[in-house]
Amino acid sequence: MRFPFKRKKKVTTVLEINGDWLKVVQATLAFQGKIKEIRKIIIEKITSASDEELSVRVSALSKELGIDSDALVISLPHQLVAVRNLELPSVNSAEIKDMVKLQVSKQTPFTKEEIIYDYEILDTSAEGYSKIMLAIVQRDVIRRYSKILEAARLKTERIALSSEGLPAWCRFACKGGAVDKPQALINIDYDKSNFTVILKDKLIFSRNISIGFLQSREKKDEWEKKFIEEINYAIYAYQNEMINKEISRAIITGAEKSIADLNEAVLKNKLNLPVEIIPQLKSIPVTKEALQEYKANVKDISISYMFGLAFAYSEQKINLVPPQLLVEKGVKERGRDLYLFGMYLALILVAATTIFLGKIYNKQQYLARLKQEILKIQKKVNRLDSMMKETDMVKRRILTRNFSLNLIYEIHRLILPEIYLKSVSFDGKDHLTLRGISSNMSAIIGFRSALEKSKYFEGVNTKFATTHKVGGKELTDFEIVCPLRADLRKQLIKNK
Amino acid sequence: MRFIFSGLSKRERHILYIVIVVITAAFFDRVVLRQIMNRLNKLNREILTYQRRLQHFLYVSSQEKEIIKEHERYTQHVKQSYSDGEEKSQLLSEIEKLARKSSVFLADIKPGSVTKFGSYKEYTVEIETESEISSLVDFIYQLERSPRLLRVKSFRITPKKKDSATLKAWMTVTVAVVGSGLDS
Repeated sequence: MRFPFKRKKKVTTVLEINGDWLKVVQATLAFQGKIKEIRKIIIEKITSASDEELSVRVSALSKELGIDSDALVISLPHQLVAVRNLELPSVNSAEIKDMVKLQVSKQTPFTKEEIIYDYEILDTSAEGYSKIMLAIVQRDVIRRYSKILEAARLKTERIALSSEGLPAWCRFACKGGAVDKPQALINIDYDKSNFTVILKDKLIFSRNISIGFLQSREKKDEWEKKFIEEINYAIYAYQNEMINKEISRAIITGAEKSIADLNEAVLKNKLNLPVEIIPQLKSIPVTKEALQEYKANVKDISISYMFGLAFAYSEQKINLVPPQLLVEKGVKERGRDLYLFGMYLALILVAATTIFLGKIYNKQQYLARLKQEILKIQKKVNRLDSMMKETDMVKRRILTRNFSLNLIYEIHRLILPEIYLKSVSFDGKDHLTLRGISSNMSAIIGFRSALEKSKYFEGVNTKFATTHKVGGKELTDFEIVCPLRADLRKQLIKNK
Repeated sequence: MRFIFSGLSKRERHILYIVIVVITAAFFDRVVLRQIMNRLNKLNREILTYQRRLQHFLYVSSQEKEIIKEHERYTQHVKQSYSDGEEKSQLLSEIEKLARKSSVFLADIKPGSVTKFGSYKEYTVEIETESEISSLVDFIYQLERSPRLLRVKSFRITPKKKDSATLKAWMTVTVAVVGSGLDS
């Protein structure tokens, strides 16, 4: 899980402890890793053999230069690393990984536990073969670097093979871009040199040469002879490993004092190759301060590959950091990412909550204002409301005026001459009850039917109708219950 | 934490992250968001209620003159001018007067209960009369057309004797009064 908010790495530092020399090169990278310039060059002779004192010095430099552990590259001198070119019968990266794992112990006299290795796939063929460059270093070497850095309170995530910086340096100094034919690049350092072959901007071969500037100080002619001899051996070794990939030209760089004495024409003749001698600072963007530091301190050593490592910070392929450190780093990064993720999440939640709480606050304020406005006119409205109710009551009473009289009139209208009423009663709520007597049963039924059709009643029913003889004449007593129609009932209830 | 992560594959880690996000979102929803939304909804409902009430109040307030005018017109004869006792006496005397006027014999007259309906009162009087049907009808008519809005709420009418033209009637008469001081 990666976050786009991650801090940009702006200043990269390349640090090397190479025998007697402590070398530090710092480069400023502009936005998105674009190269800007070399801002610091520190070259110091290591006077003490103690690693503790070296740590103290590295610590001081770290403070002085503001070294950022996240952008620190340790350059591992080529003579400390065994580089092997292998051809493996697979193009599958997982299979290659397993094959390298098997091959690596055969390439050194050390056990697997005593070494750290990494590799780069250089080329794959249509026949299903892959060429790889394998770099192996003793674990003790890395442990020493780790201890020095730890004591100086620094950490690194990249330990690079120094030769790997040369293709990037060549990209600047040679100004030719990537070349399709192999080029030999001979880098002369203080007491050792390095023969490398690069193709298409990639390191494909590396071999150590055991002489450097130091040996040239005594017998110059012999040195040159030995130097050419070593180069020829290296070319021979290269040709043995890389068949059909002839070197097209040789470029020599490194310690300024050494290359100043070399003659291109002689070398061309002896090596049977076009030769170009290029000063290591050629075409390298550098600040004035760094240039002064360079002129003052860098005469007999090489730092060309360090420029390359600083500029090609993100292109580095071989990393000799112990795997467990990488795992730890990965876990820490994940932890940090998780922490940041949690923080962002919490921030979003807090922001969302704040927005909602703000809304609630605004609504509460609005509600309070509404209540206040209501309170202002409530008393007056209550009084008016009460008046309206009173008016309504009076209107309803007017509406039901003469209701009782109308009921009496309705009975009078509907009653038949054969019927004699003994009682008429209205309960004031919902029904009228009629009791009477008649000698004619059909008259009672007719009266009931007429009541049924009345606009005042509904569901009229005869509660009882009892016939008895009085003086030889049949008389029927009856009681008829006349419920009021629903709308009238409602009116009366309202009127209450 | 370190142990947990180092033991997980990339896919499992992604699933773990998603689970963490989902759980956090659910927790936030339950504990914070839902509470806030409930509170907001409740506030919205309250605001709506109070807005409507205010609208109604403003409308009523704007109709003040018309309401007072109408109230005055309808309640001028039913305003309470006396105490409850005096009001009952007034009512009894008015009924007696109307009975005399309609040639109805008032056999009995009993003041009943006083019922309060919000801002107005209803006085009840139970009466017993004897009269012919025409007089009874006239008496009821006189009661109902009274400006004080007397009402015959319920009644029972029977002949005084078998085949007699005289009727006995029991009636409940009510009158409503409104006016200041009723609520107190």
